[in-house]
Amino acid sequence: MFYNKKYLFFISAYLMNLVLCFFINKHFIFSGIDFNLISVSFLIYTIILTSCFIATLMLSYLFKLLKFIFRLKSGRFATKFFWNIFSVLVYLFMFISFIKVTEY
Amino acid sequence: MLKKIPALKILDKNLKHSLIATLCFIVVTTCVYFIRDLTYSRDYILQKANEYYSKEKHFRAARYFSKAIKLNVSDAEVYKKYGTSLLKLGNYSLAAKYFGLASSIDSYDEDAYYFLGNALYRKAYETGDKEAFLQAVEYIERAIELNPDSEKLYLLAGLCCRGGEFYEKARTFYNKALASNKFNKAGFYNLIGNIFDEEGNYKEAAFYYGKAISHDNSFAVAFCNRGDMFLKTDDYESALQNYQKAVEIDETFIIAHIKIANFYYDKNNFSDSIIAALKALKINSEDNNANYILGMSYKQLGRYKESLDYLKKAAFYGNDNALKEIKRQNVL
Repeated sequence: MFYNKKYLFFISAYLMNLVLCFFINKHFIFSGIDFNLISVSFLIYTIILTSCFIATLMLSYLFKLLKFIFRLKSGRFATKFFWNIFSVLVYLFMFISFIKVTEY
Repeated sequence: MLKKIPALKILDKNLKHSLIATLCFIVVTTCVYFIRDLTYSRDYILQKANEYYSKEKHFRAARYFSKAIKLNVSDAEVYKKYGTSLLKLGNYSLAAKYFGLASSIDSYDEDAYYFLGNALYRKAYETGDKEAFLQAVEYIERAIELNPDSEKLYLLAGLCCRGGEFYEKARTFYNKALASNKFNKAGFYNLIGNIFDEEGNYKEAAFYYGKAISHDNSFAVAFCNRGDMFLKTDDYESALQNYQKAVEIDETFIIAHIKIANFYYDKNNFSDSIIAALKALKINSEDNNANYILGMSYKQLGRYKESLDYLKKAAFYGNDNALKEIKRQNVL
């Protein structure tokens, strides 16, 4: 996703993350804690991106291993493949987190 | 069809697909959120809220009560429980709001007024706002009107008044409680003594602690408090006698042991101070004051290694003076 314009992906992911943080903040209001949305959203954003990056790395190594085992030709679009996995994982992470946070 | 949209003509294929995928993602997530929200029933949310409330999981309980209220539940009991959860979580302003709503639904519910007063008191205590203390007192007075036989109401009213430094008003509440002849008189005399102590009227305070003792001569706290007053009025012998009496009554009363240790330390009797501090540490080895006095007493006797050990322990358990002393000795 947004392979040619990666900054657009990061912007859209951050905006989604901001919505997620808004819902998280709503929980903390019960405890009288009203945290700084922007700084916390950056923290959560970093956590999401880092964990997705690590997950993508692991997945790509797994694919490489599978290719080696089944003696498949290595693809020409390894970077694009890596990016696609990464962006889908970020969206998936956002979706699951949002569902969990807003669940009753 | 998408090709006909002029804005999309300038976008490359990848960007176009990415935008469509992102939009679809947002739409799906929003739909899931709203559709799921519609499926929640009030009964289910309330049942879960009460379940968490009874298990004292107040964070979750507050979340569910809040949702129940959004689903138009407007029951005084729910407001009270929600307020209680918020009170436990430390959100006093919001707790006060919901106790206020509960009291407006049932204006004869003394518990709602008591909790409202309690929430306001805690909020006032945090902010130090004197007006807020008075506001809390107003609600507690209403609760007392509804149920004059509840001891906790007089205790809280007194606390609120003392918090706002309305000492005369606090005494009035305690005297009302005493006049009703329904509560522990020694306890309320002791509280009146505390007020005089806060005002700096030590002789009067000692007199009221004495009254408390005359109603209950096994009241170790009152002996200890009276000892403090004698100490403040330079009657050292009586002070020590009172502390010793408190220890006689209750050997596990650590404060009295510490006060004795402190007393001897101030009188440069370090060996007796050590004995008293060691007795205190037998009761609670983690008491920072006892560790500090012991450390300082050893220091005065020139036993620096033991002194340092106890000062370090005292600092570890949160004694600032011990920390300063260690820093002063440049051993940290």
